Amino acid sequence: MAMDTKPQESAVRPEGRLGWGTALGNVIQMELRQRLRTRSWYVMLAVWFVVIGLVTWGSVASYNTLAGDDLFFGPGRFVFEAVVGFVLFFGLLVAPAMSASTVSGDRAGGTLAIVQVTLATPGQLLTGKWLASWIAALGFLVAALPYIVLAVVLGGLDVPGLVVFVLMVAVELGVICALGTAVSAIVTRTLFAVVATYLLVALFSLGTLIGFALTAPLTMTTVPANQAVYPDEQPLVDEETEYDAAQWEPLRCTGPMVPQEVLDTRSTYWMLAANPFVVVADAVPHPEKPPYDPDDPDTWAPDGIMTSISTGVRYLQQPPEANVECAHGQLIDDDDDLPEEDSQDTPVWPLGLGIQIAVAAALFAWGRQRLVAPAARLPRGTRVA
Amino acid sequence: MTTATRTDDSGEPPVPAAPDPVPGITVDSVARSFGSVRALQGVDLTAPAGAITALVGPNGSGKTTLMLVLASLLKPDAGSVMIAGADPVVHPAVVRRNTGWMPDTLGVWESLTAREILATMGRFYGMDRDRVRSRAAELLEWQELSTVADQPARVLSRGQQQRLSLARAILHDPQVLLLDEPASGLDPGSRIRLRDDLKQMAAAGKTILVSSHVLSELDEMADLAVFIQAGATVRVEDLSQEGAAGGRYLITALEAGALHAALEHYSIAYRTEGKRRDSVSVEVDSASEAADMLATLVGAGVRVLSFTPGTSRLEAAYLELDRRRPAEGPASFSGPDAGRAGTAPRPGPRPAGRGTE
Repeated sequence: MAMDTKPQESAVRPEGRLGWGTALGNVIQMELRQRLRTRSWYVMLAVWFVVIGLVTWGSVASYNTLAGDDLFFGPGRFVFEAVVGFVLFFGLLVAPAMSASTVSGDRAGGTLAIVQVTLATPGQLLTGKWLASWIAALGFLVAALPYIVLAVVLGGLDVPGLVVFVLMVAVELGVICALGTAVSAIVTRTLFAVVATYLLVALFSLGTLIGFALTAPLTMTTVPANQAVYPDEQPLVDEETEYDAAQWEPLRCTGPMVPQEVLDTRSTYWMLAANPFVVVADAVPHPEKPPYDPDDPDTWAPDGIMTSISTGVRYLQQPPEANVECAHGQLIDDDDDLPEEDSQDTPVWPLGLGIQIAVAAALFAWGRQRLVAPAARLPRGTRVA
Repeated sequence: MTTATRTDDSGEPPVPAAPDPVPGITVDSVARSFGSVRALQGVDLTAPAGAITALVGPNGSGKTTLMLVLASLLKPDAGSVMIAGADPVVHPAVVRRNTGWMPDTLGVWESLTAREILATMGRFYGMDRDRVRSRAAELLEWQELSTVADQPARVLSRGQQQRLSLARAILHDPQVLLLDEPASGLDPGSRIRLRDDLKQMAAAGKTILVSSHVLSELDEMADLAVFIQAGATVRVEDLSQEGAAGGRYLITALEAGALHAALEHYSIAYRTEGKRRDSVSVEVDSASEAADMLATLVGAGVRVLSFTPGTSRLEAAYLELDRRRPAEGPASFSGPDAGRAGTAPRPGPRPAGRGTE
């Protein structure tokens, strides 16, 4: 065989490192090739497709049963938010499986060290593996798209909501995959890496709730307040006069100031904000609620799961005064530019996503450090190769 | 599969001479500990370019640890390493470009094909797509893996995976080759091929460091042997000089009686060897003494069938080291295999975590 065996100029950069494009492309291609050749990915995808289908069917059916014949508008928002919630829930379960064995598996198989002695840097290797696991996880989101679109179509819902939702779930999957990839580089054993990633997911989705609930009593504070005076007579409900909520509100505040105990959740609501469900729910725009009865603008449809979550967490941003009548002897005046109105509109998802990204980035940096060779320290009981 | 046909087919191995020769490997009192285990405690080694250097030592003596330090995977606690003119701690990228490492574990991406593995690794070394493709095809041909090149690596036999591992190690045409137990699991034919391949690469100017348990095999190809024990260099043997080959020689004659009589006549101490008792072994001090003895025996009318060194020089040196070990070895050493090294050296499965069959 005639061959040219002379060394030729290569794509190595002058400083001896690989370009990021080449390195990332190579890692991603290698990872995806291996994933696409394993049967488990397709099995999981099929199971996922069936399960999300069942959830969609179930939520449509249960809405129809509950609403009976009084169906003035489609089950759109309700079904949409239920499907959305489940897609995110199952996505949180799938993403660790996609990511948490990526580095530790190579380490166990003896292939990690072989890549480490090439010109690819630890950062390139870890980033490439993260992106590959993210792409694999996004496959699940794509498989769920028919149901999401179906839910949107059923209720004639807004397209921006759909787009934002899909984007935010994709981002959340990326965050979880980053956690999983980083953990798999930090932890030596594959099984432990998968378990640790699931625990991190649980920390974000359940731990945030538990943390918030446990710390809530610690935020107890007192607000000076006095007595509210209500109208002497309740206004008659007249069919002809328009309903006026203002008629039910207190007229003025009177009497001595008494300390009132109230929770100040402004210092702890960030925990809930870091919850993936809160991040997604809060980012999805909430259009004006359609009236429950098209003929009566004062009726409204029940909130979906995601809308309720978002409203609830935003409410926790309010100062404690908002929950106490006649705090500081003043009525809460809707006309004034009081914090209540502001906080209802302040989104919490940027904070939550920021916390998640900060944690993922810190773990990622730690994981990268674990891949640096020549290694000065090795975890106990491990061999490099 | 014989060496002759293969060599005729391929002509020269696809490893060209280095454009500008660079120094080989220099290791100066390198130490490395893992927690309380002192894996290396003062290894000195010089592996010149254009030669095969054997790294010999019992299990747990630190051979693999030293290989990992040289492959720029482990940072030494003390001492210095220079590979192809660069320090792996300071300039790992330079070292990696010039070094091919074949680990003792078979790192194979099971679902990728042999061709894909080579192509991927080549691109990790910065080779462009076309160059990688032709180089991979050429190496697969060279290692006779072409027929299985497009099947998942998991279906390859151990020997084929081993050959793929070697092809991967020399993919980027490194100046220095670090081979950790390259022959383990190979059948005799593949071992002979490997030996010839390495010899050809050394002749082309590469620096080759090989660790192995199969001493007879190292004996046939190594120019230099470095013995390490308990993480320290204990002996360096130059195998390229034939002159001083003393030791025990095995003599076989057609008639055992005539041989015994001749040896007794010249007052040469001997002991009978072999099952049929037609062989004897004698101790000589040098190669010339052995040659003289052969001439004497033939002159005396003994019909000598064979006259061969009973043990290889490497084996002799290893056994001599082993005999001295209890007295000379550090008393504190308590590696997992410390007690096992006293018996005859033979290739065998390494203790933990190895994928040997």
